[in-house]
Amino acid sequence: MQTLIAATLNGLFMGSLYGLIAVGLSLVFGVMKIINFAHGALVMVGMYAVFYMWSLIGLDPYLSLVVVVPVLFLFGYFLQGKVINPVLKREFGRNGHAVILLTVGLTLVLQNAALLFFGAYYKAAKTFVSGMTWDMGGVVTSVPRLIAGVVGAIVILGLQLMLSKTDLGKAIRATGQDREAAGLMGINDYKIYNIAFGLCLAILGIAAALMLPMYYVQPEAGKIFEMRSFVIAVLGGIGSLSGAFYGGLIVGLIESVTAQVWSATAAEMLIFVVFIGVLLYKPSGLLGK
Amino acid sequence: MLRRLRYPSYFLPFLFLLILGLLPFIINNEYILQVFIMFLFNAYLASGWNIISGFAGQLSLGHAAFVGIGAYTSTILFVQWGISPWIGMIFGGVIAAIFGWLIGYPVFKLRGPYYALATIAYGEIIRIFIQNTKAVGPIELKGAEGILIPFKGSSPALFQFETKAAYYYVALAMFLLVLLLSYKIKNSKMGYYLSAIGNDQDAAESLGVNTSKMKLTASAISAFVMALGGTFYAQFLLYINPQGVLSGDFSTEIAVIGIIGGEGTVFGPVLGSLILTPLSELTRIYLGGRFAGVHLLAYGLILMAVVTHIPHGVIGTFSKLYHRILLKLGDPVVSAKTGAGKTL
Amino acid sequence: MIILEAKKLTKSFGGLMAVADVSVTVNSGELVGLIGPNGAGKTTLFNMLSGYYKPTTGEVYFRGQDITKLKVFETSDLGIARTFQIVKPFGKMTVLDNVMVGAFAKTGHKKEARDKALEVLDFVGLFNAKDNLAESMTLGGKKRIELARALATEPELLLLDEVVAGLNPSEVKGVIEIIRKICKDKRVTIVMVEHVMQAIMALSDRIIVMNSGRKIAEGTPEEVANNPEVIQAYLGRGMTKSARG
Repeated sequence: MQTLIAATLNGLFMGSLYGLIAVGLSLVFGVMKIINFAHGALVMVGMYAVFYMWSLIGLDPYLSLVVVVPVLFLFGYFLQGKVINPVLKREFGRNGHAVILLTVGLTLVLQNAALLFFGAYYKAAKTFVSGMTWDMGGVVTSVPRLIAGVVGAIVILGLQLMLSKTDLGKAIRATGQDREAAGLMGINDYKIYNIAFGLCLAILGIAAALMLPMYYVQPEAGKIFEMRSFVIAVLGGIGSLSGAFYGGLIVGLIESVTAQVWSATAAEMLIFVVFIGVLLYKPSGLLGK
Repeated sequence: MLRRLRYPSYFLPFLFLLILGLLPFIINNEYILQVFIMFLFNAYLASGWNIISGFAGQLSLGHAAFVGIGAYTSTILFVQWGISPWIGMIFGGVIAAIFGWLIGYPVFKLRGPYYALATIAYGEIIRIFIQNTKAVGPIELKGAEGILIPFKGSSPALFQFETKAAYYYVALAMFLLVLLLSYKIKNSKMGYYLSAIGNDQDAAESLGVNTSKMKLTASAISAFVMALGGTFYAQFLLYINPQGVLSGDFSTEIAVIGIIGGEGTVFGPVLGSLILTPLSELTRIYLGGRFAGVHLLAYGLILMAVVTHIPHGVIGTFSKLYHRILLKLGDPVVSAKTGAGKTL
Repeated sequence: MIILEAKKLTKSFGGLMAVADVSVTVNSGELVGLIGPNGAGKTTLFNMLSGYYKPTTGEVYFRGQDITKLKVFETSDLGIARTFQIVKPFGKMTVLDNVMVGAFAKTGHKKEARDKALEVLDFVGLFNAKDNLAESMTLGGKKRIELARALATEPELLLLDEVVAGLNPSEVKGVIEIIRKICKDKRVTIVMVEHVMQAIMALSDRIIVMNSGRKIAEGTPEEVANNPEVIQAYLGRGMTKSARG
């Protein structure tokens, strides 16, 4: 019973982290209506950034956020502005394949550049919380996971607040809902795109810092999170941020509990079955209309 | 027909075919022949992918799954029950076609990026399943370790040959067959309907096109073609494992070849393979194990450049060039309809 | 003979009533115009007639057959074709290929489809543009492609959604002429939604006027133009002045 409670708790923490990563994907889709197939590769970029801050300068992963988040924001801002926007402009009104392909190309570049420069080795950062566990009357969870879960939820909440309360947030939402109308209101839509993509990368930077005490870094480290994000985004309704959060919790729970009572492969299968089920019966997402 | 061979627009393709047919007699180097086999094989796979993703515009990033289904089906039938891979190939094709239909069914009614998402998810799940499963009942998948195919010496009935040249001819035959299939589809009612779907589904429906059914059919045909390629792959390398034949990178490679050449055209995937296969083979020899991933890095950069600068793939530029050559050679057939810059 | 009959159609979007209890009858060979101020519900009604929206309540009959629940491509098979207000050409296909897609509705042979398409292209005056990519055509050209494509399916009923909106006066004249020929020479029944009054007044045998989701008037162009309720609906803007383009 206690193991089951632990599995549930761990699932919720992991789910919150998954949700955080999926929120980045959903934000970009919500604003620009494109699926970013480089999402996993960008998670990996964030992880390497955090890792090297630790291994070269000795900055603790959680502290490295101060540097990594603004740097990644700028990286995203210019990536969108210089690389993605020109294609978006040309393809306006088409089916969006070109942009998908651009992000696929970006994935190949980032992943294999990482392979070339950093090698295929698994790298891990040792931090003051690594390997620490927290025992609540027999229910044991790892401290990094607890931190990831709590901070993930807080960041998502903060993002929601920022989008609903600030002028910038309102401009972002307006562009997502109707970019022409937003344009008429004097909002520079392509600049909003840059900011949205920068925000997505900043979120991934936070996620990377939360992950590093738990995961190895290697060129394909982001892949599993990308797959999770796709499933979560569909589950929660593509483009919905709160949907991504709840979708993350559901996937985290399925993963953790199924792995506990059955096997990790079974957990993967079950997540997949849920994904197909949602596509079949409620493609707008579990929380969608 | 023979008299028409005087015209460049007839004899150039004929010459090309002749060279392809005689290649093993011209080239003695086993390695270079292998590069040509890979060229034909990659062109074959990209053409199969092109049927659903190019003609019908439904982007798949998980087509390795079908190659894997074909490879695993014929291999298991051969290794465990001694059934000839020629027969296993058909079984693999049919199973893959059913999977192709199943992947399409939930998503083809939806608009938007769902198909691309679903293909990635299906591809991954099949890989994860096989990678972690030793056996299902009597069927031994052997998990991550993969399956070795015993070599029984030269036995054409068992899809096994002593020389590279023989494999070359099998690949050439498959290549020509898939081109013929693509050409037939492209120039039929189905081809027009698929094109219409790729351009605008609402408009296609308004003209009586049953878009879901068309896409499902194209998806099944495409999967069937991929699976046959999988059997060839298995018999050529005599070893299959999930990290190889089912990997996401393999899926992406297939799509990239098709896109860079020019999706939706009959010869685009051939051109894509012509450009990218030597690139990947050369980087593999010269940079090899030391710099793993270099060819994919190059693929990525080329893909980004093509998407940004030549959105319709290399085929457009190429067909204009080819057209000009034909005109230079004084081809009467082409001169008769000048200005028609039609893509191949 | 009645070719299309809509009985008590209602459509609501999340509680908002876009069309309320509208019945429409169209006789074979007739050209019926559908007008109304912005937001009157005419596009919604049109989309229910063409099968794009399923009505919340009510039924649509085509030659006596209930087509309410049919898919769009099935209604096309029965002989209903439509054009789109926001044109949807197959951009990366040639003009000829666009029309051939329509022509394949009645044949499986490429040669026959091509002949049919060429004939229709000649009819709408696009023969010389047949090898151009559809996306390279002007708006007027794209509207003609839509007409040609729909005609190539050999429909009995043609639904036109603002087919002259956005065109310049001389283009409008050309398209009006084509529509008249489609109706009078080819004997195709037509229902058209239109903003451009010049077109609707010149072409319609009968006009249906909608306002706030309801049918408020029906009759010949003169009857409708002099109907006080209609004038009230357009609120003195003057019906001809509300014409755009």
